[in-house]
Amino acid sequence: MSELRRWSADGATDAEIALLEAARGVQPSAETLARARALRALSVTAAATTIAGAAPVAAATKSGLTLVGKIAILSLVGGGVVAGGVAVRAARQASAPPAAAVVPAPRPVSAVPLRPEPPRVNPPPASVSAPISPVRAAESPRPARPASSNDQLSREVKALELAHRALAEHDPQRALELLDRYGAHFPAGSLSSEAVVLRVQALLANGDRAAAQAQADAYSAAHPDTPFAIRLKELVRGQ
Amino acid sequence: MIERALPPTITARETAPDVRFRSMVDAHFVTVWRALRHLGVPEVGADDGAQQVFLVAARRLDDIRAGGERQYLLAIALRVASEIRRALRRRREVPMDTPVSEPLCVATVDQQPEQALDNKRALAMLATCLEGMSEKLRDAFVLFELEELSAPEVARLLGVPVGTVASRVRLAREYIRESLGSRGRR
Repeated sequence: MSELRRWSADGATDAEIALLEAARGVQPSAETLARARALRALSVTAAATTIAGAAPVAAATKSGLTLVGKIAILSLVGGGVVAGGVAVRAARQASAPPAAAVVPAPRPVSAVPLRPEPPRVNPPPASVSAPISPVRAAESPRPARPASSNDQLSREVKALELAHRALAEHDPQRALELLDRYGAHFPAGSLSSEAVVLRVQALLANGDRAAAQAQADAYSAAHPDTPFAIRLKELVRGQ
Repeated sequence: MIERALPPTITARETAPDVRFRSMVDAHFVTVWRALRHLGVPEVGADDGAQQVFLVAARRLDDIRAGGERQYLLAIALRVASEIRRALRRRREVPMDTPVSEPLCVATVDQQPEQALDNKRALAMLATCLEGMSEKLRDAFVLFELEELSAPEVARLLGVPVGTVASRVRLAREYIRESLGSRGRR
């Protein structure tokens, strides 16, 4: 058989080419891109910490996991933790309200860490006429969403970026102050879980291992089968 | 990409892995998110899925060769997507993704045969088609036609010979063409 060429150069109809182009032009919502910013701010330090020698899947057999989580987690190395957590969370969002966050944590923690808002009825498939442009998406929230929601998310991201920067500059005390400020401004913030991860990192960097452990335990008790809970355990163990 | 929308936050004290990780997020987050969606991860899981792909990558930063980031991330995305799909399948009460579940796209296409497809409808059609085909075909098609990896790259990611990739991609095309009811139209 001849060498495989792209469909668009190998007999695709106009309709099929339009289909391909539409698919390549799909882009995430502004909210998703804001979370990507949070990822940049958070995971740099987390990456270094984890690379230092955490055991990625050690928490996989924790009894609190649902069947789905166990299946997903046990069937993969590394990525399985992730997929399990995501799937469990997706399942919860689609089928039942999340459990209330009753934690002895200093401030409320979102029960659904990364996506605190209810699932959207209309997903974002972007238009071909607007090729991938995260910048534009970030600047022009879709009309269906209230602008204030994106504004708040942006402010939350900025607040956490400041805390992360303090941490990266080896000033955990300052990071903790900034995280306190974040908690005061956003008591039920969309990025509360990210803030907990940063707080645990800051506490560890500050030498306050007991407090870090307490934070991680409190979070895990409230969200036992989430990727964040697993990560927090890794962080505490890896130090 | 994301970088353009952000204030510069990289500080002099950040390590090389930190900087590299950031640049990976900037350059490839949208790709990973989009690939997860095309690979069948529902909207409610795609954000978390993309985030977790990068967390896995962060753990393995030393294993990722310079220039091979996108391919590596897509390899992780494949596994994450596969696990999410499997977990959701076993949990029957969770619909995979209701918004794209138009029964089939044939009738709609027949109403406007020669016209450019409405974009949203096109995406809904494609999603329906992708959902209907086997995962083997879907993975090969998404990586080769939508993410535009080379056939040898796809072969490496899927762990199959290049010839198998070619045959899966061609079968996927046929499936889509039949689903669209657009055979022969130019």
